[in-house]
Amino acid sequence: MNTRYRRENLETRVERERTEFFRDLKNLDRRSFLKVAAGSFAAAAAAGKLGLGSFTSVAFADETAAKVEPFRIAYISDSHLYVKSKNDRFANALMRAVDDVNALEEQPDFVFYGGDLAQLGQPEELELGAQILKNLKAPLHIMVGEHDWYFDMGEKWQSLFGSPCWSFDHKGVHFVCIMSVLEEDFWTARNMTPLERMQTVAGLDNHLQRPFTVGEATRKWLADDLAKLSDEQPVVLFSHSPLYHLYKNWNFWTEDAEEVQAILNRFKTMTVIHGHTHQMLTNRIGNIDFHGLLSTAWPWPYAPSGNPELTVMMNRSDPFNPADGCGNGELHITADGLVDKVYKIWNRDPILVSAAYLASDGEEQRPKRPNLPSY
Amino acid sequence: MKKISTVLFLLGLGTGLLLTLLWQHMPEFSTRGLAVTPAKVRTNRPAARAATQAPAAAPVAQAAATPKPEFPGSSSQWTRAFDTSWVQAELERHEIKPPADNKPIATMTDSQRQGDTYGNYTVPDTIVWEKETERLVVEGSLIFHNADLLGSTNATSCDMCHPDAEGTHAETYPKFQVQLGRAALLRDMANWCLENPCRAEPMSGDDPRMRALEAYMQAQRTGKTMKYGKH
Repeated sequence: MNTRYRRENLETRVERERTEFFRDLKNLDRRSFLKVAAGSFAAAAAAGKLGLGSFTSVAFADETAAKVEPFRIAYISDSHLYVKSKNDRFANALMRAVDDVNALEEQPDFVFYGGDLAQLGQPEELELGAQILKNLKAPLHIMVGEHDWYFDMGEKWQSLFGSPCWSFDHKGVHFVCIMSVLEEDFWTARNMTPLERMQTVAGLDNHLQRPFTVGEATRKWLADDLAKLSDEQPVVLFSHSPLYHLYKNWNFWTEDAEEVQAILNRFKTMTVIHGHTHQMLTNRIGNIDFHGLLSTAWPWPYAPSGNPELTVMMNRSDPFNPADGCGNGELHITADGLVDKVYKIWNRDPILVSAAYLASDGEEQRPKRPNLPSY
Repeated sequence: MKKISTVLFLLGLGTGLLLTLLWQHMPEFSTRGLAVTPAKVRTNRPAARAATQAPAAAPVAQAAATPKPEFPGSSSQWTRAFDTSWVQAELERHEIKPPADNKPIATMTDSQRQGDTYGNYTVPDTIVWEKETERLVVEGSLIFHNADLLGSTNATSCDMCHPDAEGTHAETYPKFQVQLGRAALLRDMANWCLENPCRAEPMSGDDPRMRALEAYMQAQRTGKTMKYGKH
C-alpha cells in the first residue's frame, strides 16, 4: 500500500498493519466495527498476541492516524550577498526569491532560509539580507552557513537571528536545526586576519580550510533535543552541510556525519534538508532521506565523484542566462510526516523529488532525467 | 692613417653601444638597489593583507581602496630576483593537477635508442620543463581565483561557479556555441564570462592572463578524452 515500507522489517510491518487497522476503524459504523473487532480479536488470539489492555490502543491509534496534517514550507537558500554597491545581482536574486514566495497563492506555513545569506560574513551583508527577508509574508526560520560565520565567528549573525541551533514542533512534525559548519582552527597558525579567514572558508576549493563538523557540543545538544521523542515521531532536521560524505575537497561533507546519523537512525520518519551544494541533490541512508537546496546566487557543478545514486542531476546551467540553475522551492510535508521536495529552478519547469521515490529506492516516481548532463 | 681611423671608428662604436646598454638598464640597476623587484612580484597577497589589517569598521570601503594588484606574471621572470614563493603558496591553496613526468625520457640507457632530437637533455632538464609549465598553470589558478586580477567589477571570480575549474570542460572546445551562433574557442567562453557574470573587460587572445587561464583550465582536465564539438 505504501511504497515507503517496501523492504520493511517485521517489526515495522506489524506496527504499520496495526496503525492501518486502527485507522480504518474510524471509518466503520458500529455494526461493522464489532465485526472487524471480533475478527481481529480472534486473529490476535490465534496468533497468541493478545495481552491485557489491547483495546486501550484505540485511543492511541486515533492520535497516530491523524498525526500529521499535510502542509507546505517554502525555502530560499545560499544568497551569498555582497553589499549592493559591490554587486547588485545577488541582492536582486534574493529579492526575486522573496517575491516568488510572497506570490504563492497558498502561503506556506513558514519560510526556511538555508544559510550563506552573506558572501564574506560582513555585518553590512547580513543586515542587507535581514532587510530583504523582512519582506516575506510568512514567518521565517533561518539557518547559519559558513559564509555567515567566519568573519566574526557568528557574532553579527547571532545578534540578528539568535542561536544557530533551534527546534520546534509544528502540526505533528518536530523541526530541528543545527550548526554543522564548524572548522578546526587553521587561521591562528597562519596568522590570518578575520577577512583572510573568511575568504579562505569562502573559497569552495580552497585547501587551507578544514572539513566541516557538527562537533561534540552540538551533537549532545541534538541528542538531548531528540531524547524526549518517540521513534514514531516525524522529524525534519536542517543542517547547512550535507550530513554525509560526498566530496571532501569542496566540503560537500560533514566529518562527523556518521555520529550524527547514529543519533537520527532510530526515527522511522526522518528527513535531513541541507544547503551548501546549490543543486538538486538526493540521498537516502538507512531510514534517513536527504535533500539539497537550490541557491539564489549561482549553481555549483556536480562533484567529480561521490554523487549519491538516487540523485537525479539537474540539467547543467546555461551560462548565458544569469539566473539559470538558481532558484528556490518548497517542502511538502505529507500525511506520513515525510517530505516531498520541490525544486523550482527559475525559468524551468519545477521538479518534484517525492518521498515515494526515495522510499522505493528510485523505482517509483523517478524525476525526469537530464538531457544536458554534467561533463 | 687608414688603420688609425678604423680603430677610432670601432672605439666610438663600442663606447656608443656601452652607453646605450647602460641607459637601457638604468631602471633595473636602480630598482635592484632599492629591492623593489621582489615586492612587485608579491604585490598580490601583502596588499590584501594590508587592507584587512585596517580597522574592521568599514571593511568594504577598505577593499575598494585596495590598489589594483599587479599581475604576478611570467613577464617578471626575467628579472634576477624572480620570486616564486607565490607558486608554492598557490599550490598549497588549490588543488592543481601536476604536469606529466618526463624523467623516463632522460633516463633511457638503452644503447639502441635513436638519440635526442631536441638537445641532449638530462633529468634536471625535464624538471625545468615541469616547473616552467606548472608555473604557467599555477599562475592561471591564481588569476582564476582572484576577482581583482580578472578585472571583475562585482567581486565575482571564476571559481565561484567553477571550483577546481569544474564545469569549464576544456576538452570539448572548439564547439558550436548555440548562444553565440558560431564556433567558439575556450577563450571565447572565458571572455563571455568575464564580460557578463564578472562585468570585466574581455581579454585579448594573447593577453598573458588569458594564456595562463587557458593553461589552468586545460591542465585541470588532465585525463579527459579530447572531443571537440561535444555538447
